[in-house]
Amino acid sequence: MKYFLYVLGAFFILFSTSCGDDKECNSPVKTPLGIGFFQQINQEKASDSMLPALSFHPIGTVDTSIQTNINAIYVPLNPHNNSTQFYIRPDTTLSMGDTISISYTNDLQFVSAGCGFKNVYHLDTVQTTHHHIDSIRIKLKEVNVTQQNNIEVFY
Amino acid sequence: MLRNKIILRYFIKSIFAFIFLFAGYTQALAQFPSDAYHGLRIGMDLSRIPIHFIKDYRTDLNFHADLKVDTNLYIAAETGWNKTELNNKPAFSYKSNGIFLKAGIDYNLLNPSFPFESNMVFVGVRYGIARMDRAIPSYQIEYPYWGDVKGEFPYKTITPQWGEATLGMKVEVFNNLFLSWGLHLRMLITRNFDNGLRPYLIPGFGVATSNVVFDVNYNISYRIPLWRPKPKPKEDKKEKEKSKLQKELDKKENQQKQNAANKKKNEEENKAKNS
Repeated sequence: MKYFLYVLGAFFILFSTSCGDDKECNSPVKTPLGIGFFQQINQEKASDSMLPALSFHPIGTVDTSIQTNINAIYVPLNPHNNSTQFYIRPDTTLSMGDTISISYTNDLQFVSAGCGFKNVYHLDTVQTTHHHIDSIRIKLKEVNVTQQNNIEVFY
Repeated sequence: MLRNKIILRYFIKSIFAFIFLFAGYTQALAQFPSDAYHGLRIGMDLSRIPIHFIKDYRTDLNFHADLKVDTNLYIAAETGWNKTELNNKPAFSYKSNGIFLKAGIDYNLLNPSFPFESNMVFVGVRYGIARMDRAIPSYQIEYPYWGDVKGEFPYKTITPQWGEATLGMKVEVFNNLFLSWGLHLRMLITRNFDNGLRPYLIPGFGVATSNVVFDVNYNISYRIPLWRPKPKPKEDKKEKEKSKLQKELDKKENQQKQNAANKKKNEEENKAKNS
């Protein structure tokens, strides 16, 4: 019966540590849009622009966020629509800001049993008013969990 | 990173299992009276019982059978059932229910240590197909500013298919009673699932979050002794050559005799003509 004990031992080793992570969420699920702010030095060069007191407001919501001394923000796109507008003032002392309009498509992707799903976006177009913003461009089309700049805004 | 950790964990467990079970095998080199008989071996996967207690959201029943068709070749089949009810509300809940069928062959790599040895170390291949209903009763993605995304997917029937390579060992511990383990590498053939939503767990395949999965099972099985194979007559190679040579000699001798008889006949005919 010695061999039988061996196989029983193996049996317990196999399953003693096999608890999975099916009930915990260990992966990121938030997929915010990264907006980087730059100062256009000349036609070829641009540098990071540190905004002293950025006022930020997603149009259609009541929330306004004010952040100081930042050169990038990460904001959620509207998952219920295919477009989102943001109102941005680079400095709260200024009377007017700009409206940025972003259009995109939206994919539901499974992450894990613990986390559920995430929304991954693919940017189509981006437009802005020009009160303070000089130009805007899409740098990275896929909006995922990577926390990278998807859009570059030049002042 | 997390997936690598899981793979490493399974790999270490498999090494331990192999060492322990090989040690077990070396103790099991005993011949049983039933070894002279062949028959259908049927059994069930015991490893699915503790899995149900460790991962309470899944219930599995796996049965298997194999039949020796040649010296080292077996045809093998597996069938079973899985029910999964995962409730990680509000983020995710999942329900599925299904059956599977696998068919393939096993090849015994073990040289028998004694006549009719039934222990085996085997490699095998399988084709698997499942029929299952799966639903996502609710899911939720948290969103600041915009409000949470909530949704559901109703029941849908799907029939995923996969291929499988297996390596394992079967040891006869009592008369006709076998304990065995197997390592399984499965590769999903069906990859395009409706709406991009693949099933979380496929019966007979396992957790299907990736296309390739690794699994270990531990089985108990019983061989129903049905018939006693006729021993193949062993023909000595030298004897065989000798008899072949003898046949050729006999053939030559017969031919010579025939030639001599023909010659004699011709001579007699010629003599008769001349006279």
